[in-house]
Amino acid sequence: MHIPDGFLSLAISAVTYVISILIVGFSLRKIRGGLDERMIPLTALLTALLTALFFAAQMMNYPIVGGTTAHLLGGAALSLILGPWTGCICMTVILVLQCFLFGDGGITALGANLLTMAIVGVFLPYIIYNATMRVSGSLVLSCALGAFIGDVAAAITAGVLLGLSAPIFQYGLEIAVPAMALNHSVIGAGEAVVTAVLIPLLIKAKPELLSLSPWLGGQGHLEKVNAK
Amino acid sequence: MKAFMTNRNIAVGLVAAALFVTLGTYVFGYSMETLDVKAEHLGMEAKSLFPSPFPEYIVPGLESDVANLLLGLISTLVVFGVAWVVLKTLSRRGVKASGV
Repeated sequence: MHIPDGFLSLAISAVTYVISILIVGFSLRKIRGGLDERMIPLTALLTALLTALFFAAQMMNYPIVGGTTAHLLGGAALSLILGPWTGCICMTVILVLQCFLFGDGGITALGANLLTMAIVGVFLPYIIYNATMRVSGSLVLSCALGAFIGDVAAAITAGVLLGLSAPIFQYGLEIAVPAMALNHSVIGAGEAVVTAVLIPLLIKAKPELLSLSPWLGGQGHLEKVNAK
Repeated sequence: MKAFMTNRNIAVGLVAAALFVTLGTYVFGYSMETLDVKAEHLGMEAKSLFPSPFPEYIVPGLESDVANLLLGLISTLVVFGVAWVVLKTLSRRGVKASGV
């Protein structure tokens, strides 16, 4: 889903840079203000470990439809384990290093890539998870739906940005959006399965890991989930 | 969390990351994403305005699986280090700013 240089119009690049800088900056402020001093060393280690794990997981490409491949994004899992603010920063670290070290995603498209994968792909799963949990009370369904919709929405956002960049990107919205959404729904299904297995396993085995997540770790939510 | 973040568990996490990198190098290395295919149909080429040191996750001039594996492992450690420094720096500033 990483958009390279030369695919986006100047206006789209500029707007997405501004939006992403604002939201990433706000996430940094939320993290600054929200940490317990005694937990800082452990929080930094856990965050670094999960960032490295999902960076490594993104190196595995698996075949999907039409001769294309895909890899996990991990935005949903990071968001649910660490909370959306920290999850956003983890994905930002991954995307910035991928851009500058490996040329995976263009420097002019970094704002757009942050918007799709570190913002939409991280915050939306969290919102969907919360809403589904309130309605259904099912942890597995909430994790799966959050991950699936987060992935597909991130792809649709990328499709919209590319479509709006026509004629630089020569497909308009009517082709770019469905193409991205269709292929990434397969990726979303894989992400949904991984997230729906991983999060309940972590809650059962290592609930203390989720203490950074304001929803999963707070509000007595773990006790409610474990009581079911 | 304190009970979980032991040296042993951190090592287990890093070994798991190394396993992902190894699988990504030897088994799941081929990449052709949707956007690559669409761009190919259009005859568009992904230009890079900023010359990255390791384009396409390979070491230029050392295009072997072993070199790619080493690059993947080292870059995973770099990601670990950068994320750790970001969180540590931010946290320390936050603590100072809040006067704790």
